[in-house]
Amino acid sequence: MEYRYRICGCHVATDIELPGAVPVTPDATPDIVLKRGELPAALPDGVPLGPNWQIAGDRVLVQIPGRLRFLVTGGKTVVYAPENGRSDQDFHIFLCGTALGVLFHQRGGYVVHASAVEVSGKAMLFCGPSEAGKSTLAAALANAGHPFLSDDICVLDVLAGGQATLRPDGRMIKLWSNVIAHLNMEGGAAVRAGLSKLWVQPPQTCVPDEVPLGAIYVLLGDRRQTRWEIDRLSPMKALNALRSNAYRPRMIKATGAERQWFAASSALLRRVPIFGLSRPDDLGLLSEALPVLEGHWRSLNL
Amino acid sequence: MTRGGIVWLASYPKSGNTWMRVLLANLSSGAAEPLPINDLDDVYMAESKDVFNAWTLLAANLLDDDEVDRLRPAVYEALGAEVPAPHFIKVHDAYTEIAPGEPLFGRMAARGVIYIVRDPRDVAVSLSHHFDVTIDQAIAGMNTALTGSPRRARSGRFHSRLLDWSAHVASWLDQGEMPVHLVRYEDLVVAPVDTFTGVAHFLGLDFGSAAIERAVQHSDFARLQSQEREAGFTERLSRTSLFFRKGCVGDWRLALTAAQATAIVDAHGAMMHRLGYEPRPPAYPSA
Repeated sequence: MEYRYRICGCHVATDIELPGAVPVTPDATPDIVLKRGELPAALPDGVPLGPNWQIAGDRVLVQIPGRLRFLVTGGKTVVYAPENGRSDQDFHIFLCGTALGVLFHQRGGYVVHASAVEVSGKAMLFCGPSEAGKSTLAAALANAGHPFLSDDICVLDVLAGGQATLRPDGRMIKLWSNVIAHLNMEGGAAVRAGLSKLWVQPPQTCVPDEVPLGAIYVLLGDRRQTRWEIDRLSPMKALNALRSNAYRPRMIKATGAERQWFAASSALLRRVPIFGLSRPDDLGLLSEALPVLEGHWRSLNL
Repeated sequence: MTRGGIVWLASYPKSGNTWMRVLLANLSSGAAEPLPINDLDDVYMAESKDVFNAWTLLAANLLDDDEVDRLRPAVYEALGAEVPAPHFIKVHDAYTEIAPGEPLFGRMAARGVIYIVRDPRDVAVSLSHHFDVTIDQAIAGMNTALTGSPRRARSGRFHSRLLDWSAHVASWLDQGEMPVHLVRYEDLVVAPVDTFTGVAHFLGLDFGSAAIERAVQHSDFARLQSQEREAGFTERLSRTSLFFRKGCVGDWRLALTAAQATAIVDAHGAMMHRLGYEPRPPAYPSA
């Protein structure tokens, strides 16, 4: 059985169902092939760059001890090998997440850990650390009528002289069950067997090939914060924020792309405003983000 | 194999860990003015999932406890091998092993640990204010081996494995893997310059007495309190109490009932004695 999906602008052929991803008709040569196969425990010429991953040329081997190994090669293929007879539901999330994130780095993409919605034809990106509320905010905005573009991984094209664009895929959002209840949304299957984080179909998705970037917001958590506030980040803070909000920033160094990343970040800074979005640590105040952001978008004259 | 550059700043919660960070930050900045307390966030927490995610390329919130535990020691080893010493990491976890002979914090990740300890009776009072719980609840927590799931969904941090208070102290003091420098909160209050000089010596930092004295002045409790009153503090949890609330020694004598003090001494008397905390202070002389 073969499945076809469109993920971050790429046509992906897989032998495993990837819940959350948007299926497409198999009418084109796939850009990316994802399949099960035999894998060594280590690459013969591999250099360990982290506790559970190593790199050899254009190959990256990642391991979840006792669960799964996958080899990402040349920005084109992912071969995965589950250990101990693990079910697909136990590991497909790592293929949609880490494996494709690594692969987009290999393809030279500017890969950001962010979620995105569309506003007046522009992509609004929300990035931030683990559990900062990126998906939650994007889901709330999608509920309020802003078409949903991307969750978790945003691949940007930052062309010299051109517009910075996002390659969206309209995949499902991953939300904790308490957030789903708070937003009156309908939770689907668990993102991983046994986890209370579920796939949720956003009310409106929008998947053009690319969307010009409108703004990037860096979610800032601070316990003192009692309301939503937006401040423009200084160029230096924005540059640091772009780096730390790369999807798995150590991949930039691992793929030898540090100079390109810096150049792309500088180009991005010149083309797209980058803001700090301070949020209160209270789900009950989530709805107050909408008027603050919508007012901000009016002021940006999109 | 050389030891990594991490220096753990380890303590049971509400024992002076943040104060130690303020002291170290002021010492290393060497600035003429005290550092803003809200600019301390460049110190990692061992429990941070972002550090874990960055090093493993995975997302901790998608992993189960066993998967996280199997990777954490190697994360600290990798981080320790990369950072120059001393690279401070705050930790409230007890020193535990994920399997026999396999410490959660790795074998070679760290240069050493500064362990900050405080009279458990004062810890109980401070805990109750910080977490907005009753003193009895705080004491129950300190007397219970809290070994709960480290995963803690919906948070950017792993849940700390605290053990009970005595076991927490013993786990770090007796781990035998790396050098420990024990700092008593009470000594930091009574003799801050001498006590902090001991910390600097342990770290091999040669700052000279003037710099140490300035760092101590910049970290004076009243100054931290006034900073918090003016600008708030990002690490404050309580809705009613300041984070830098009193910072004094022996507050328990006013705040605990005799039964509450006894409950702590009954559970932790041996460790208190070892640390020089008189379990049963002499009664005040009667008139």
